[in-house]
Amino acid sequence: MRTLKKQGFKLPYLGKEIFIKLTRMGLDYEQGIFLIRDLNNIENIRDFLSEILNEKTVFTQICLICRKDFLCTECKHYSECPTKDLPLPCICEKCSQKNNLYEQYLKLDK
Amino acid sequence: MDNLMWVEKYRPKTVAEVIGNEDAKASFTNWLIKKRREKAVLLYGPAGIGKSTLVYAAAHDFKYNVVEMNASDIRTRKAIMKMAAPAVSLSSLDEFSFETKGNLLLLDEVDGIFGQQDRGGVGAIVKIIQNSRIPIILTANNIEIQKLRPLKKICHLIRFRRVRIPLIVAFLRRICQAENIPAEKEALEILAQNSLGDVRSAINDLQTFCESRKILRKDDVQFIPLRNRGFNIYDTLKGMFSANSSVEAMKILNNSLIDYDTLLLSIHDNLPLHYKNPEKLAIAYEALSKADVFRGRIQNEEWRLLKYVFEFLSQSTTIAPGEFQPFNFIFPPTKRYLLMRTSAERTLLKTICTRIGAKCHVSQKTANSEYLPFLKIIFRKKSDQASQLAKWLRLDNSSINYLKKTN
Repeated sequence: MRTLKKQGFKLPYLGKEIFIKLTRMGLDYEQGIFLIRDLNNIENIRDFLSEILNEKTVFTQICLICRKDFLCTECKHYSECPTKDLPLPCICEKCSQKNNLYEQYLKLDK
Repeated sequence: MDNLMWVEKYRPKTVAEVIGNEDAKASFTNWLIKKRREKAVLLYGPAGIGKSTLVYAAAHDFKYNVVEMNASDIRTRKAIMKMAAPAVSLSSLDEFSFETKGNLLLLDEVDGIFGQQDRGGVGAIVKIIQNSRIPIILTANNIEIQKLRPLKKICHLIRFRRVRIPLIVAFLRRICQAENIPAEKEALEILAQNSLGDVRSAINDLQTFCESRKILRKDDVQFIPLRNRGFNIYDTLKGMFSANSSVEAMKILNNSLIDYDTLLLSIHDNLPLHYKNPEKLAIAYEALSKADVFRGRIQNEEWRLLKYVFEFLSQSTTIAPGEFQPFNFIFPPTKRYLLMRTSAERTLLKTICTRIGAKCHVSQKTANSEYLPFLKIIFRKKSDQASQLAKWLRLDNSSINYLKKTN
């Protein structure tokens, strides 16, 4: 399983055609790093990367509260989550134990 | 106040209070407060995840008055022009006040503009967007509908996704605290999981279970029936191709929101990407062709045959269970693209055949198969006879060019 970060990730050289396709799908490329420009199509990007890299590709999650990276597989709602493995903000297992979570969420600079 | 639905009572008032979809929220507020390249924005995603709520919250934060037209209004061309055209073209008196920035037009659920009742609605919206001086916000659940293509071209698209379970749990807990109802965390988690990311249904479920209860326990909600989830095209294709048995694929088909013909064409396009082995591909196409035969026999009446369509469709995608490798699905169907590309040419052909049919007293079909091939040869090789024929058939320049150039 290959893990990619939302903030940017590196890929091996995959050829001109694939590079063009990735940029058309919503990725940008800056100084050797791929950046997500358009999240509207992110499922297709994830599946395309899995296809060309020949291994399951997942994105890390960023906890809205503590700002730490974590994986969807660490979450107990993994099997029910409708957007699993996509680079969308979430709350990690540790922070979700807090009682005043919604109040903390409101105070965030999102 | 106590009789209020909790969905209304706890509806977020500000953008910060809307839970989930952080990137979409940021993109929307940026569009609203900065200089807008597109005059309209189309917010799309499943129901109950905060699209309309975000519009009202943003209007509150940035001091706009919302002028709304929703699915309950009749949205014919005339009705839309009557209501929305003045709102978007005239300056509101409020603009001269410090308290508001003027109007904002919200057209809710534009994918519901269909059929005779709302005839001309999409065209009217396009016209209004082009002439608008105020922000226009459209919302839709499904934007893959053919009718919305003109809107997609001129709008800034923002996708909303189902809200994640920990966020829904946090919101439900806050409601319980406000209502003074102690709730077990597991109970809230079950409600949030069952909602499948739909915040509105989670709140409705919570209110239902909290009625006449002083405390909400896990046991109270444990046997809540699973909510039927409609699968979009992406989920349907992925679910069907990755299913381990035809029964599993059939379950996904039963919950799919996609019409049968589109699904049939989409599976047809994607089968070669799924099966690399030609023998398995041949078996899959065999099953798909049988599904197509039964679909043809159904037409609009024999719906009892639908189970055979489902049976063969699910068989075609599960010839090699457990061998699924993720791939990029082809959608919309390539046949639709082809029809779209050749639409002008087919219209022209139809016009020519109608003219021939009227003059020669034959059907369009006969004109196409028996007269047109000879006309094409005459138009290519005998220019003086061609001009006489063109005059007799009253063909315009585009029809003449078509007959000269095509074989």
